[in-house]
Amino acid sequence: MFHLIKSRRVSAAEHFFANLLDTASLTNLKNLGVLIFLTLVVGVGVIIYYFYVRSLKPKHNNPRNDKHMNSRRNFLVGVFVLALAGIVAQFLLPLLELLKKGTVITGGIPSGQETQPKIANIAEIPPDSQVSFVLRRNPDGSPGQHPAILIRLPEDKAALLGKEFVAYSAVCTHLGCIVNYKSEEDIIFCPCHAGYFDPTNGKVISGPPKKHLPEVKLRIEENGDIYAEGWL
Amino acid sequence: MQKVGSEESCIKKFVRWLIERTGASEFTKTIIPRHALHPMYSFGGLASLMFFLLALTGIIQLMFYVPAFGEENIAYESVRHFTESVPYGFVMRGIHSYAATLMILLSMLHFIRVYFTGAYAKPKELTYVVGIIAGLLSVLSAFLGYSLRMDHISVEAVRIAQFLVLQLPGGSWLYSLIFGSGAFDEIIPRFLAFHIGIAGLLAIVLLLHFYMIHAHHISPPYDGSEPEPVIPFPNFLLTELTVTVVIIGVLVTFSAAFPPDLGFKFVFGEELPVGQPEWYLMAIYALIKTGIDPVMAGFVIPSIGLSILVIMPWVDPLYSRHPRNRRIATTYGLIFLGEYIMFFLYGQLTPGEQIPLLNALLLAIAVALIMGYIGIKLTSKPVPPKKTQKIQSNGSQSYAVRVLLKNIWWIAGLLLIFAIVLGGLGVMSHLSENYYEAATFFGSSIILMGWSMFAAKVGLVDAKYLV
Repeated sequence: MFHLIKSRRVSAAEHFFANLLDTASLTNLKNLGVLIFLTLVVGVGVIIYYFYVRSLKPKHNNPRNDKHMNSRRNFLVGVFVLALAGIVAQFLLPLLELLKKGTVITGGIPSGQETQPKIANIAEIPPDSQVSFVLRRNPDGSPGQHPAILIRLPEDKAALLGKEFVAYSAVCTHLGCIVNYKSEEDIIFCPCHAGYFDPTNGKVISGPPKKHLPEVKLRIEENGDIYAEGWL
Repeated sequence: MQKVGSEESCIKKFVRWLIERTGASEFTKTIIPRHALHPMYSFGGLASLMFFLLALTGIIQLMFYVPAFGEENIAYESVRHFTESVPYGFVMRGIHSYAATLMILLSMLHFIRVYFTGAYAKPKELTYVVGIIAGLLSVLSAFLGYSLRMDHISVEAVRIAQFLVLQLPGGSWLYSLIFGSGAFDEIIPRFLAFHIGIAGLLAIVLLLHFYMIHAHHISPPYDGSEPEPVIPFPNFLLTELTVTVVIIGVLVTFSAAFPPDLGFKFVFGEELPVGQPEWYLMAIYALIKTGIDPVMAGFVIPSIGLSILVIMPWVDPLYSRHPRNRRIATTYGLIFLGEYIMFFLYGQLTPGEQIPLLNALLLAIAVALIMGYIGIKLTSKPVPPKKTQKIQSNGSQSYAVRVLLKNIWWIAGLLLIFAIVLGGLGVMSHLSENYYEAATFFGSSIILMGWSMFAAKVGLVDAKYLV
């Protein structure tokens, strides 16, 4: 049976019915659904309008109501009902599409481990620059995500201080903005309200902050890896 | 004996039955007075419409928002994904974002109208106080809501909130209640819960507000004239319906044309631009930027300013409700408004800069003096109550109204045809998955349909009342 149909030449009528079946098939369910939906919404509007018109009495309370006015009245009711149906359709169509096709992203959620990760290797940090990292504990000892910066001081200052690497909390003590090391001016700078800190000891040079930046205790391995151990 | 079904259509009968059984027949007897048709009386209603839209779009967004920070700021990624990849996600987020801003703006305008026209006069003192509570809750909910995006602006806002809470007496105890440990993984779910919880509380407070307005009726004209009832039951309700439709259409088109902005993704260790708070918090932020004690600037000074507004119904002697007859209320209101606008502008013009305390103090005193002078000058001469004017009508309609009513049917029909064509274009773009275009078409089609509904409504039910 099947091969018989296939071997025959397809007539125009068969082509049309094949297209119709294709439209109604599961692969094209979306278009069909939209079509049925719109037909339903508009159809319900038309049915309501029909019954409304059927049940209207020939003369209204309005004294100026003649036959002419009455037909216009019915027309206006039709416009109102159709507009309402169109608005409902235009709300539902996008909403159904959103609910059907919308996806939610998934991602890695941390396991909540407490070990302090490696910040960087000495070789990765040129002198007079900074690296940002996150500490798992706040300066008061509570668990959290506390941003901090590791600074490799310029050589002259490092020689003066006796150590090359210093690390501070990156949270400005004024209002909690994130501070940055500015190598051209040799200061730690808070961009929110222009607070200046000394990179050698974290103390306030000028600006609105009153407290100095808490310092991070560093441990440098023999191979040059730098770890944050906690707060000084 | 009457013939069954000869008097009314079955639809009319059903509507009458529905109104009676739902207990809404009291509402059908409400007649809207003429003075309440002034646009300034619409701010409160529009703000509640915005709240309704916020609830709807918020529920949709709740299905797609992932309240976690994780390693890579999942919350931000989920918002971006919702805006960019979910069909019509940008419309939902756009309506939510624009409606939130509009709700706060409209609530402020509503407050200004109520305050300056003395609508808090006896017996509406508590309606006024409940309204202020609703306004504060909506600002709080908006703040929690825009913190959920986790872009550079939100992170800045969360940090400042954390700092302010820590400065309060008993701050560290309160801090752990609000922020948990302070890690973003704990802050985000808490903020989501608070955002929705406070919005729910706001809904209850608003219902109380509406109930009190219903119980005490709409306030009479402030100039002392008698209220003149003009518009009966279904007419004004239908007008409100069409206005709602048009506003939703405008919001849809607007968010398709200008998708809501999303700041830079916040990741630990990346340098980001300094975020500025939303405009309604800018005045308080500017106050904090002057460098005075944060508790003073963030809590004490705003609460003093606000609590004077709250007790105003009992301070104001209210011999007359006209703003020019109420020296204390008008002068204080003008000073408060002036300071708010001045600090807002000052904060907006100095992003990322400290405000010198002396400048702020001098400007604040200057604004207080100028606004106080204006207030006292305005209230120096009492305004007598206005005589009630009734628009006399001899029952015949004017030429313009007659022409309008004669032609309204084809105006409504033409608008509907345009709207259907636009809607059809929208469906075509929708089927080709061109969602931005589709949303633009749908939005404009909804606007036109709203207008055609309005035209039909004018021809149908307003004809008797037009002179």
